[in-house]
Order: sequence, then structure tokens, then C-alpha cells
Amino acid sequence: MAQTGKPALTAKQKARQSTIRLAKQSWELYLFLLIPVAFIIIFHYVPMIGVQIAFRKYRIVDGIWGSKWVGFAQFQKFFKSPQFKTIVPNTIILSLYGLFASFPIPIILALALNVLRNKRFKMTIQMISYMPHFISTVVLVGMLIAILNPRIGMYGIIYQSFHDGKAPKDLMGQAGLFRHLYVWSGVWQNMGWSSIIYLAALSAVDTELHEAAQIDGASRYKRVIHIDFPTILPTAIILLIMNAGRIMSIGFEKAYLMQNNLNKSTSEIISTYVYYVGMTSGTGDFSYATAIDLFNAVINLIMLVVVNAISKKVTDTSLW
Amino acid sequence: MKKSLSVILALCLALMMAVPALADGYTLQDPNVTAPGEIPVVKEKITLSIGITQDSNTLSYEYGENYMTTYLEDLTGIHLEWVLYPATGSDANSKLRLQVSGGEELPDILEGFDLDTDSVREAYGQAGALIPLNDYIGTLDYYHSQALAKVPEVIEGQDMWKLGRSLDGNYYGMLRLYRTLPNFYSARAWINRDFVAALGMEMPEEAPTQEWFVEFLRGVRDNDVNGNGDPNDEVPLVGGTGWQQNVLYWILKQYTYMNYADSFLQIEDGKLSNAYTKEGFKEGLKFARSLYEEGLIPDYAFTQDNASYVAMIAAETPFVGIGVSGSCSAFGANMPIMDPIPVVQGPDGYAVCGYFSQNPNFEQCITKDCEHPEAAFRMFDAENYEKDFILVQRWGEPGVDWVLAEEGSRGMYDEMGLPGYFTVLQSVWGVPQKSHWAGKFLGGVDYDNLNSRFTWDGNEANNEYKNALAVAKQVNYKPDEYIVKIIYSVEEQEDWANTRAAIATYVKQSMAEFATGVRDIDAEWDSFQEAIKGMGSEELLAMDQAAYERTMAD
Repeated sequence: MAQTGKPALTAKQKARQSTIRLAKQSWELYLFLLIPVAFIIIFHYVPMIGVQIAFRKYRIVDGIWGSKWVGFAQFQKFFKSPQFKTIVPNTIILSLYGLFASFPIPIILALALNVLRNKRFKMTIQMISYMPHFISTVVLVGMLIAILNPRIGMYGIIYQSFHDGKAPKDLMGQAGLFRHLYVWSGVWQNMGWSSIIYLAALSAVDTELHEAAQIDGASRYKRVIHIDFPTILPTAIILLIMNAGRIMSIGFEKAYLMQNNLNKSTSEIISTYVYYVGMTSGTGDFSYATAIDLFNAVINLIMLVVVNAISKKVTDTSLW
Repeated sequence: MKKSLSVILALCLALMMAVPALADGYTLQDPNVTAPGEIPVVKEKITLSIGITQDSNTLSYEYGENYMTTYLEDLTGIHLEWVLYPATGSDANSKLRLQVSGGEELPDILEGFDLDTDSVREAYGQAGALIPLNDYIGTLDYYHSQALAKVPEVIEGQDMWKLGRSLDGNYYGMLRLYRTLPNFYSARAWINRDFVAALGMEMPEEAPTQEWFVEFLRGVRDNDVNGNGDPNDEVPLVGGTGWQQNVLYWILKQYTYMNYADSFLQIEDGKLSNAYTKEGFKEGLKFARSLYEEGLIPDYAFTQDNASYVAMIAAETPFVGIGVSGSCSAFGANMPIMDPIPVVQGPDGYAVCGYFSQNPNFEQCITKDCEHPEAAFRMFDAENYEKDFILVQRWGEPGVDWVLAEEGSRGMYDEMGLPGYFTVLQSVWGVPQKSHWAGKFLGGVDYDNLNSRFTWDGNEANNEYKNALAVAKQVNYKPDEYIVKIIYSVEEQEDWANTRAAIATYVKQSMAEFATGVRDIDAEWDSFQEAIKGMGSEELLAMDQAAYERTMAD
């Protein structure tokens, strides 16, 4: 065993040595790495020291290092809390719905834009569709609330003019509608922006492929399906895997802003719950909030690994 | 002999001048600070940094630009250096928390944040971020103690200083008593008096009965009371999610005591209980549901934000019968026709309005990093040097924003024994200004209720006038017994804060769901009680009771 292992090791060492030699040769290029690496260490690794407070009962007086160890008590508190049963499914459903609704639409938009012949028209559409991306969440939700107001909003006024002045039901107050409003306003806001990466991938399509297909008599539609789509598929899958790794860390702001007492049964997600319970009360329960976030991070990691493994099996595209 | 006597005398004199010994033995540590009662409070000018949450309407806090800053600096000889924290309260609190837990350097003086929460102040005190003011109280508070002695009543028989004492026995904040009469009764609702007249009804002098109330709502629903030709556009009863706009809290007051605070605590003979366990709470929600199902409350009354609500009630053609709102100015141009309807009598004649005991605050604090703590404390004391300074903090610059009124002027709260003291020339509240600090860093003791003693010119389109009317209608429905204050320990706060928040969130959600029939209250009342118990409501109540008894004990 040891003998068979040894040559392999030396091969690895050789590879490593050559990497180092290469690095020495063009050290100026490697110097560029310094900044991002430093950034990641300072802002992503160093703060991880603080994760330990998830296993402590953190008190301001005692600080991070001095607070009492409590093991998994914070996690147990979360799992045992009566809302656990609703907020975890709420989070996962909202996130998956958002993922699957917002994933295909930018691809379709990019494919459609790509076949447009009128360049000016194409640029205009692209511009208009990605502009909402720059609206901040607060403003977007404010617009949504103002437009949907049953009495004084655009929706309400139009409805009233058809129904003898009677105001419609309040859409924001219906628990069943919350997810649709959340997801589709997000799709509207981000489809243009998300399509940019696919458009970039599409520009890499070899024109010879198209010419060959045209000679073979392929229609425009067939070319989109058989040439354009396969080209951007790896990009799409990588993005899907990465999005799957964010399933539990769905944004706090938007759900919080759209929330009210009538839609809470679907709109209360982990992050808003943590905010109410951990951050708005007293001096803030940092340990509890950290524990819940750590729980989220673990689920995210698992999702990422699973989706990556599936993708590797099915499509041969994977992150590693 | 004579010579040695004069030497001894001179020596004594010199000693006295060097270290002014105070009444009960406290000796000033800082030679630069003048004796208590002297103005300015320092001999050589010093600079103190002051941390407050920024107010977007205050255009400048700087000396020479902001009247209040200039006044205080000229008076005390202390130059203020401003450290502005994020305008949003929770962001500012988080920032301060992180600074304290990180042991970072803090501004010399802090004011506001959540420092009025006893457990927060105590936690910061124990962490060493704030210094105890025990030694200064009763020694350096020359003007302050004089003002405090003039406060006519003690609050519910309590020593006011005691209400700011942390459980470790220390006082980490300076006492301030700053009261505005309408804020005792800020749970208000407003009824459109034109609609009452259009329906041929008569506005009752006292709290209307529930029959009258429902009859009015139905009348608004069925008739074209605003006379625009459309009988469907009127909304009988509406509220929002902004300040004191919760329509359910307001309706429930016909059945059980609601004080609009998230704790839902009630008190009877010194025993605390939670409103959400009461039969009246259930009955009230059933009544609210019947109103909802009759179309007397729209569904958006439970969800709409302040902006939408204000746009609705201030509409050019008024269409709202009763609007629940802490402030009448939200009605905009419709304000003159809105009359206060603070409380409605329930079927059993129960009618008690929400009452907010305005206790002293203790949110002026000195931090560990302050090199001149005595001077800082003397600056707090100087806030009582002139009694009109109370007015500067809220109403702005004397002579420009307000002037003293002539003796015997009609005051807004004349009937309550508060004759007019000053006349407002221009409002500098909630508008861009450089007159004061917009309610941040209020100090002093308003022993004469100056803040409520503005004159009234007889114009009804005045928010303060409307508030005065509302107060007059509410005083008769003040609860007999109310919770003055509960001081929690740091541990109690840490262990129970998120239980309390979780319960309050769940109860508020359930209230809206029961009232709109998303959940049926009869079928689910027991499971609702079980759920709340499961969250720890009974243990929480036991803790509240113990803390309350401890606070009230001597």
C-alpha cells in the first residue's frame, strides 16, 4: 500500500512544484489575488470566530469569549418554538417557488432578445427590462402597496369603476396571495438583469454553427432550441446550483416590508421571525439569532452539495 | 496671635476656594468645574462629545446655527461635539450595542437610544459603559432638585428617582420629567360630525353606547352621507398599522382593558393578567368580526400602512365615518369636521380608555470615556436653570417660534386648570428647522406643565385643539388602577424578551385572523390559549408579577 501510494504522492508534489515555479515566473499576476484573498479572510473568515456565540449564552457584559457555554440550547429553543412548524415550510416554499419561477424566465427572455434583428428595438427592450433591478426593495414594496390599495390605489380605482364604486378585497391582506405577489414582483424586477449573463453566454455561440444549420434547412426556432439553448445550459446550471445554495437565506427586507397581520401565516419566514424575536426585543438575543442563522447556513450547504451531485450525474456540469 | 489667626483664616479660605466642599461631604474632583448653582458650570471652556440619533429635520446641530445648542453652550461653557447615529431607532440601538460589546470608545454623553429601558441601561452600566450618577445626585443637582421639589404630585405615590434605579442600586441616567397632557391619552379615534348630522343623529356628550355606534356605522355604509351621489364610497370604520391606528385594540376597549402596548398586561388589585386570556377579549373579537362581516370595517383596515391610511382619511371628499388614529392632523383638510370619540360603551356599559402613565425618563447618561463627568452632570443640571428651557426643546426659539402670553390668556387646556403661558408663532415640530434637537436630548423637569400651556386662538382646525377635546372626553374613562412601571433585571429581560415578542407577534396576527374570520374564534379559542401557553405566557406572567411587586416595594 505504502509503495503504491508513494509514486502518486510524488506526482502530486511534482505538480505542486511546477505550480509554484509557474507562480514565481509570473508573480505579478498572482499579486492580483492578494486583494480578494485578503478581503475574503478579513470579511468572511475572521467573523466566523463569532459563530461560537451560537453555542453560548451571549451577554454584552461578558463579551464573545467570556459568555457561558450552553451547547445546543439555542438550537433546541428554535426547534421547540411553536412557530418552527410554520416558518420553516414558509421559508422553503417561498424560496423554491421563487427559484423555479425566476429561473426559466431570464433564459427565455435572453433567447428571445438574441434572435431579434432590430438592434435598436433589442437595446430598448433590454434597457427597460433591466431598469427595475435598480429600484430598492423598500421603494418596490412601497409601489406594490400603493398600486394594490383597494381604495386609493390604481388597482382599487380600476376595480371600483367596474363594480359600482365597491372596493375590492385587499390583496395584501390575503395569506394565499402573498407568495405570488412576492415571487412575481421579484420576477418583474429581476428578469432583465438576470438575462444579461445569458446574453453574454449567447454572444459566444459560434456563427459557423448557425450557418451550417441554416444550410441544413433548420428553422429559426430549431436553431434556438438546438444551438443557442445548449450553449447557455452550463451557465444556467451553474447559476441554478448556486441559487440552490441560498435557499434558506431568502432576503429579509422584502418579506418584512410586505408583511401584515393578515398574511403572516404565509409571510412569516425564518429571517423575519429572527428579527422580531431576536433583534427588536430588549438588548437583542444575538446568540439565538446566530444559532438560527447557523442552522440556515448548514441547510444551504447541504442543498448546494446535493444539487451539485445531482447535476454532476445528470448533466455533467458541476461546481467541482 | 492676630497674625497667626489671619494666616489660619487665609489658609482656610484658600482651601475652601480650592476644593469646594459640598453639603453632604461630596468634593468636586475636577478643579475646572464651578460650585453647584454657578453658571457657567466650567471655568475654562471644555468640549464634550454627545451621541444622539440623527433627526432628518434638524438641519444643523452646530453652535451658532442651532438655537438650542447655542443657548446651552453659552450657558454652560461646554462645547458640544456631535456624534450622530442612524436616524432609525433600531439601527442606532444596534450600533450602540455593538460599540458597547466591542468595548469601543463612546461619546462622552449619550441620550435617547433605548437607554430609557431600565434593563438596557443596567446592562450597559454593568458592562462598564455608563458611569453611576449616585454621587452627583443630591449634591451637584442644584437646579434640578429645586425643580423636582416643585412637582405637585408624586406619581402614584412613588418616589420618582426610584423609578430610574437599576436593580444593582445605581442610577445610570439623569431624571427628566417631561409631560404632554394629550400623550396620557393618545389612544384616540375621530368621528366625522357631518356624517352624524347627515344621518339625523345626535353626538352624545359622554361615551356613546354600542347601539348608537353600530347604528352610525350602518348609516354610513348604507347612505350617501358625503353627498357625492355615490352611496357605496363611504367607509364606516377604518384604521391602519401606524401610530395608535389599530382598529381592533380600539374596539376591544368596549370589553376589556387594552393599553395599546405589546405586553397586553392588565392589573386588578395589584395582580397582573394578560388581556388575551380574558373572556372580554374573545367577546370583543367576536363583535369585531360581526362588524367586519356586515361590511362595517374593510379588510384593509388591518393591513394598510400609514401612507395609504393618511391618503384615505385626508381625501378631498371625506368618506370615512370613524378613523382610529393617535393624531388628528392625519386627517389633513378634513380635520375640522372630525370630533374625538375616544371610547364606546360596551354591551355591559364597560368603557375604559387606554392610559399611559408618563413617568420620568432616565435616558441622559454619561459614559466611561467621559473625562469630565462632573461637568457633564452639571450641564444636565443647567437644563433647569431657566424654566422656559422646557419650551425651547419642543417649541423652539423664544421670540421667534413662540412668545410668552399675557397673563390670563386662554389656554388650550384651560378647563383642566392649565391657563395659557405661551403662544406658538410658528410650528417647528416635524418640519426642517434649526431651533432645537427635535425631541432628542430632552432634559429638565416640567413641574408647571408648561408644555401643555399654549394659548388657543379659537381656530378649530388645530391638531392641539382636537387633542385637547379628546383629553377632555377621556379623563372620565381613565382606568382606576394602572401599571406605573415594571423594572426588569438584565437577566429577566434577556430570558424573556423574545418570549414576549413571540407572543405579541402571534396574538396580533391571531386578532386580525379572528376578526376577519380566517380562523373561527369559537372553534379555535381553546387551541389559541394552548398555543400561547405553549409559548410560555404563564411563566412570563409570573415573572412580570414578581418584577412588578419588586418595583413597587421600597
